Amino acid sequence: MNAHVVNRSAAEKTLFRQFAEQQAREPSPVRAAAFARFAEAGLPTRRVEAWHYTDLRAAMADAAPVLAAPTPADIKAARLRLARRERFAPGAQLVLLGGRYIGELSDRLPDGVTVTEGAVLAVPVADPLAALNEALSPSGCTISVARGAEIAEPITILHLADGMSDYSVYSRSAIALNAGARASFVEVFEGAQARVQRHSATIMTLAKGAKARHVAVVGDEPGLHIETHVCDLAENAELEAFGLISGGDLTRRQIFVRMTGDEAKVSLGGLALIDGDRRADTTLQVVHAAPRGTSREFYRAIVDDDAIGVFQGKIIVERAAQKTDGAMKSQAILLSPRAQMNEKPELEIFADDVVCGHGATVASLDPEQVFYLRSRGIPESDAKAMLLEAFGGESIDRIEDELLIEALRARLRAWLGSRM
Amino acid sequence: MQNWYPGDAQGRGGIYNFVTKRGDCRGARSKISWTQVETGSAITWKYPSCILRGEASRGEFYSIAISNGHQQVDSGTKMIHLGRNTTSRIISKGVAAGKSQNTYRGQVSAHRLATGARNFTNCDSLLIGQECGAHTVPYIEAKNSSAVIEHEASTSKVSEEQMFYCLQRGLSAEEATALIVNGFVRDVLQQLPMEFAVEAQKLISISLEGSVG
Amino acid sequence: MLEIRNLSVSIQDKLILDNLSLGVNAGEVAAIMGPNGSGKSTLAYVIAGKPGYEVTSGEILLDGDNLLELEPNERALRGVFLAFQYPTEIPGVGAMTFLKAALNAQRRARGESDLTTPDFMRRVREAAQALKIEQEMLRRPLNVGFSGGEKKRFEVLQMALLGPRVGVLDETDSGLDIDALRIVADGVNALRDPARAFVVITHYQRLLDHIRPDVVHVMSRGRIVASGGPELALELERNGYRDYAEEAA
Ligand SMILES: Nc1ncnc2c1ncn2[C@@H]1O[C@H](COP(=O)(O)OP(=O)(O)O)[C@@H](O)[C@H]1O
Ligand SMILES: [Mg+2]
Repeated sequence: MNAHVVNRSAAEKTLFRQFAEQQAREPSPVRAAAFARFAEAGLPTRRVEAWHYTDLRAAMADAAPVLAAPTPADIKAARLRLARRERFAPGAQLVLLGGRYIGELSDRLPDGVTVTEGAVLAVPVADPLAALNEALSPSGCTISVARGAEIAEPITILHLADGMSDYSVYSRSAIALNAGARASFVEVFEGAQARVQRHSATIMTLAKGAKARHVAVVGDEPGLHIETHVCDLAENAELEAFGLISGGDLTRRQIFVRMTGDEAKVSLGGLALIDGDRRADTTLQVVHAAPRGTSREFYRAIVDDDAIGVFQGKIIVERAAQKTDGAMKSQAILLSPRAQMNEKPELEIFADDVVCGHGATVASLDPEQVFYLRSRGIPESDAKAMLLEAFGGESIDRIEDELLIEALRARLRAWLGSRM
Repeated sequence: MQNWYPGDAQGRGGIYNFVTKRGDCRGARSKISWTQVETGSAITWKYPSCILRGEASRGEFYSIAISNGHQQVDSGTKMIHLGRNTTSRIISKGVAAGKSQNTYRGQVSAHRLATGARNFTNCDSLLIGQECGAHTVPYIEAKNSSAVIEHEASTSKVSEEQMFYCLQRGLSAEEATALIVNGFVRDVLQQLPMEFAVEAQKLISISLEGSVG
Repeated sequence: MLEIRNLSVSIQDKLILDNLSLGVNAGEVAAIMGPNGSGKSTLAYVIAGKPGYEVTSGEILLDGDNLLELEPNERALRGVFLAFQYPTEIPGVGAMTFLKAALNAQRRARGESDLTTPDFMRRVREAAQALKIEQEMLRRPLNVGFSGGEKKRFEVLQMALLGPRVGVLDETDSGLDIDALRIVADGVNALRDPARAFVVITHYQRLLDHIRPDVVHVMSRGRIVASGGPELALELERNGYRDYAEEAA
């Protein structure tokens, strides 16, 4: 369909075939439109600014077969695994197996929260992988929180992967908070191994005065993890989001936030723990589209061995967004002489009455600090672990939930412990 | 110092100013310092760069870019750290007024063998009026754990308190703006030889004519 | 007890300590005075083992063992304590977490078990009370947001808890008002012990009014240029370092 794009990569050819097969089974004009948007751009290369440091076209040798819906036997096996598994956070849990919401594996939801199955639509964001997700994902589910409902415990969305075969898995969930609602969500990705290619999208909408927390935990070992998180905030809505990456060969978390209503508030954060020859890319786009919005972005990365970290953050302040207050900070520590970190913090500002800034640093552990601790008798490896836990912990501590902080810090300690 | 014709009131007929400048620090402790004051042209694309090859060589980039009317400025630098203990410093001050667009675009990269490399970057933007835009696009690439790279950027408008203070002392809005902008770019002006600095100050005032009122 | 012999140290090819020798006996307090830049902090850091200094000759013996062969934490476990001139700020590491880690590192090295939390809390509380350190301060990250005086008091608190063989105090008096100075000096005096030695680096007689030294050394340009009793400090207070600076030239 695109005469000007001549050379399709092997992975692109497979994706075209997979999509054609899907259309043959169940034709959908909406998916076709989404796939056309993907096809227009193809798999991104360095030439696409938002993917400047992650050449997905080069990295993806092929697209693995799309995983079929789980069988009753798969569900039974998953039930056994769930029974043995320790939960990351308290509260109700929804289980997605093979990218599909499985009611019989999920908990009863608290009053005020409902889940409905069906197509998850969204205002498209300009990204080929977000479009690919829309084209190939099973229909998904929408979690809604009723007007004014305040949900005390977090709701976990568990993305459970299974088996040892090659497959790609797509999922799509929506989280909708009605006016004045408050709720906290944790997406935990678990069980994937190196031959899994995972494409996940979460579309959040926060109505007037709604407050949501969203924590993503990527701790398993998929070959590819592409996670798109889209959030739209109405007037006075607030979002607090955090992402922990501690596994996966190639991980990309892309977060698109749009403050559509006045006086919306956003606090985004993340911690990437990257070792071996992993690559982890966090890319943000925060659009201030209305006046008096506040955004805070605070991201940290610890990069070791031959790993490569990427942080890109773009704050866009549209003409209407007067009195915007935006501050972004990204900091990385390189632990090995071969580790790499690439950062691209961007400001794109079209309104004059704003206060915006960003800071970015890349360095190694501060030798003065290591020396201070050692001068008190603390062994070098303990001193470094302490400093790294402090460095990572400061990004986690910005979340306003003690239990989640503790659970995330435990992951951080486990990661540090496994390496020391 | 660049002050070519920026075009008429609609931005027509202005000069397109596309420049390539590159410096190569080959010797140990060699140094290149680029200092620029960009006020003219309809469109400017300019990225004076330094390749820091020699051990302990140093690159500096000091820039003032003022845009007004329909001007578009896209300017910055590349500091490519190849040698050991190389250092670089980037100070960029962008002022956007009228309907102009003012972009800082820069790259700092520390390569594998550039152990002990250090960079400090500060780029600040000032917005005057509601129809202009200021953009900051830095690329930071560290391929070496002993490198220390620090980048900070800010964007704001002329402070109302500062403005009021000047007006209260009897300055016109235009004079006050020129004064405040000169304060804003001072870190860079100080890098210029005295005679140039005086010229630059005048140029800045002229460039901003008609931006307030 | 502490024996420094013919120590020469450079930083980036610049000679900072020049064939310096100094001995301190158990139970003694030795004061080191000298103008800015004479190498006092460098000496303190080299005793504690800070990386980045090149020792070109000499040795530092503690009870006969050469410290220069030991890692900084190993030196600390042998009983070297440096009260830093500028204590390092460590965001994210709680002061209490840090104290516990340091105390337990020392206990483990002696083959003792870790302190129980109540036991640890009690010790810290007692030591903090003696130094008039607010509990609230201990809840902050290490040295972050501490005033100059608070930092110095916290250094002395650590020294009291760790109970070193030799305490090196690098300008622990600077930045202290007269009350804080007395508290800190009392803290140090309380630790004086026949088995313990102190090296007190200072610019001013003021501190030595409170911590009475047994010997006073004058340092200039990386050497000890004069040694004497407490009266030497008084003389320096009157005449300044001029005479000694020339001597070393
Ligand atoms: N890290 C360093 N790099 C280079 N020179 C240093 C360093 N630290 C100290 N010096 C130099 O060593 C000399 C002694 O410094 P210092 O030991 O701090 O003196 P004092 O504590 O007596 O004031 C000074 O000339 C100082 O400039
Ligand atoms: Mg000193």
